[in-house]
This record gives sequence, structure tokens and C-alpha cells, in this order.
Amino acid sequence: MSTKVQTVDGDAVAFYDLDPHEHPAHGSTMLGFWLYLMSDCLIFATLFAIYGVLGGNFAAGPSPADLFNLPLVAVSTGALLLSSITYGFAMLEMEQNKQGSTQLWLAITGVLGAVFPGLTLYEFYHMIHEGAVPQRSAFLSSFFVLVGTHALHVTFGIIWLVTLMVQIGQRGLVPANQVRVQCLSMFWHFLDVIWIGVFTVVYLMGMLR
Amino acid sequence: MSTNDHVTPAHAAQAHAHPNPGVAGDGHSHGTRKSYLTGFVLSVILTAIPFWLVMGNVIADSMITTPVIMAFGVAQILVHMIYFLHMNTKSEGGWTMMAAIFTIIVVVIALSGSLWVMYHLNTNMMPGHTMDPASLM
Amino acid sequence: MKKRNAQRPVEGFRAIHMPRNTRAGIVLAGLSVALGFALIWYMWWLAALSFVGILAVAIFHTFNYDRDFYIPVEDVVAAEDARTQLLSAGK
Repeated sequence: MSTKVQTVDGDAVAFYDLDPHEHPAHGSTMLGFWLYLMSDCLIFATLFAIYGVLGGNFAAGPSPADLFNLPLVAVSTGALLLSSITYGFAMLEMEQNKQGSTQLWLAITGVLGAVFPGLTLYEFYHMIHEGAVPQRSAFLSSFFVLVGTHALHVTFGIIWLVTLMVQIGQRGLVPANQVRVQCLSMFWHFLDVIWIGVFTVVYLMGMLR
Repeated sequence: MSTNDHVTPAHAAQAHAHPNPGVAGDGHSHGTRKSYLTGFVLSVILTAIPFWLVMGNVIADSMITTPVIMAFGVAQILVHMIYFLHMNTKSEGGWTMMAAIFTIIVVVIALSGSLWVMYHLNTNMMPGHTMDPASLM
Repeated sequence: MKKRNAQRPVEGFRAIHMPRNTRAGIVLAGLSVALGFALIWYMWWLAALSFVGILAVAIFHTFNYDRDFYIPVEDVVAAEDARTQLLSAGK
């Protein structure tokens, strides 16, 4: 086997990388986190599919028109939407290395975000109080799973946000923290995207059913 | 994975000197204040209109309202992806877009497949619907 | 590789970027086993405890910023030289 292997171009085949080729720390973190978000998207897709199939099976129980309080949903939608833009402002402040105002915008985002699971809990409490429990009908089971999963995601986002604010307070806007702020930004905006699907498919189309 | 091809040897040497080099080279695009505000105004409009359509009973026929609010939802999702998630074909060497397209394909198959199959099961296989024992004899 | 005339590199080595060892993975795995066991057997106190434990360990782990190190270039050169000598001695 003495034939020299060549590529089409006539160059010798390189089996290892000769050029210095540095992978900066955190260089692939954003892509990895994006792939996580895409897999999370598949979880929500299955939950949407379940709701789409079972959302009309009321089992002679309450229907969306009996249960949903659209003004309340509008308020929580507004809170989530506002928290998206305030997080955007936090990102802009971070790019200018202004730690104080970054923390301020993150705190505002956290407060607006906390409104959302709060209102969801209030809504769930009222529905359960009226006997609209998850066991009542297939519609209610799928509703609680879909909306509950989303509210849980927002809750974990807030826990992350608080943790990150403590870490920024300890270490400042070091590169590691900047990457974390960027990842949380993607997570936060992604949850907003999912919520668009929830309020359109569950609440608005539910009222039309 | 060749997202970091543009890192020069000088940069690599510097990275070695500093064990925790900057976020540079992630190829991720960031928004500006203007793009965030544009996205926010667009999504407020795209949220307010479907809520108004449903809460105000603007269109009497719900068979027309439903596709309209779904169209608004899709438009708002696109607005969020472009202005808030900064999606484009270049970030991370195009891999974010590839992952997103793959995910959308899987989501569409899962959603439309579930709805299609279960709709036909519901309409065609309900007990006493078509399977009349007398007609089978 | 050998069949295709690949040459063993003898110079131009660089420091190797490595992740540091961490306990978080095995601890989270253990707590997850406890959580799964508790959920299957309706042991709610254990489920709550292990879930809170998972959250606490995960958050604690994020406070660890010392996650990577470099194998110095001298060590890489020494290891590769030893291997090169071993190979040439074997011929």
C-alpha cells in the first residue's frame, strides 16, 4: 500500500488539524442551549397535540367559555410581553458593561415575570374551587398539563433569574455571566413564543368553540 | 463544527494566556434598542387584535375568526423569533436555523398527524356509528 | 491511517483545554433515582425532599465557575515524546 492518497484537488489528505484552531470557552454554549430549547419545543408540541385532540371532550363538564376569564389572560399576556422587552433592555445594558442598570432591568423582568405564574395559580385555584379539576374531563386534563407546564417553565426561569442576579452581584459581568444572561434571554423569549401558541389555541380559540 | 474558523492564531495565543477568553467568536447577533422596540410594538399590535376580535365578538362567524387569530399567532411567533431571539441564517454558522427548521418539521408532523388520525378515529370508529350489526349480515 | 501515509506529528503541540471533574453529575443522578423511586411508590415526603435536593444541587453547581483547565504544553510534549520513543524502539 504505497499509493499516496490525494484529494480531488491534488492536496495530500490531512488527518489532523495542523492550523491552530481554538475553541473559545463558551464558544458552543449558545448553540447547545438553542438545541435544548428546540427539544423543549417538542415537549410543548406533544402537549399541544394532546390538547388539540382532547380539547373538545368536555364529558358534560365545564367548557372553556364557562371557565376562562379573558381579561385575566390579557393581563398575564401583557406582563409576559413587557418582561420580554425589559429583558431586551437588560441585554442592551449588559453589552455596554453597565452592571447596575443591567441588574435593575433584570429585577423588573423578574417582577413582571412573577406576575405570570401568580395569575396562573389564581386561575387554577378558581377553576379547582369550581370543581373544574384535572380529573373532571379530558379537556381539563390536557388544559392543566399544557398551561401548567408552561407556568412551571416560567417559574424555573424566575429561579434562574434570581440566581443569576446573585452571581452578577458577586462576580460582575464576567464573560461566564454574560453567556448565562444570553442563555436566559433565549429561554425567556422562547417561553413568550410558547405562550403565543397557548393564548391563541387554548384561550382565544377555546372561547370560540 | 467550523463556527470558530475565523479565530486567528494571534487570538488563539491570547486565549491561551487567558484561561477564560471573551465571548467573542460565538457568531451570535445581538439586537439594538430600535429592533427590540420594533419587535415589542409589533407584538403588542399582533396580540391586541386577536384579543379584540374574540372579546368584542367582532366577526359573528367563528369559522372565520379562528383562522384569522391563528394567522395572527403565527405572525407574532415570527416577529418574536426575528426581533427577540435574533434568528437568522448566519448565527452559529447556520446551525441554529438548521435546528429550528428540523424542529418545525417534526412539530408540524406531530401536530397535523395527531389531529388528522384522531379526527378520523373519532368520526369513523365511534360505537354504533357505522358498524350496525344488521348491515353486516 | 498508516496505510494512507499519515505521519505521526512530533512537534507543534499545544496546551489541551480540558473540563474539570465535578461531583454534580453523579449527585444529581443519585437524587433522580430517589425521586423516581419516590414518585412510583407514592412516597411524597421523599419525592419532595429529592426534588428540592436536585434544585439545590443544580443551583449550587452554577456557583462553581472554575470548570476548565489546560494541560500544559510541556506535559503534552513529554507524553508524545515518550510515545514516539516507544514506537521507534518497537520497530
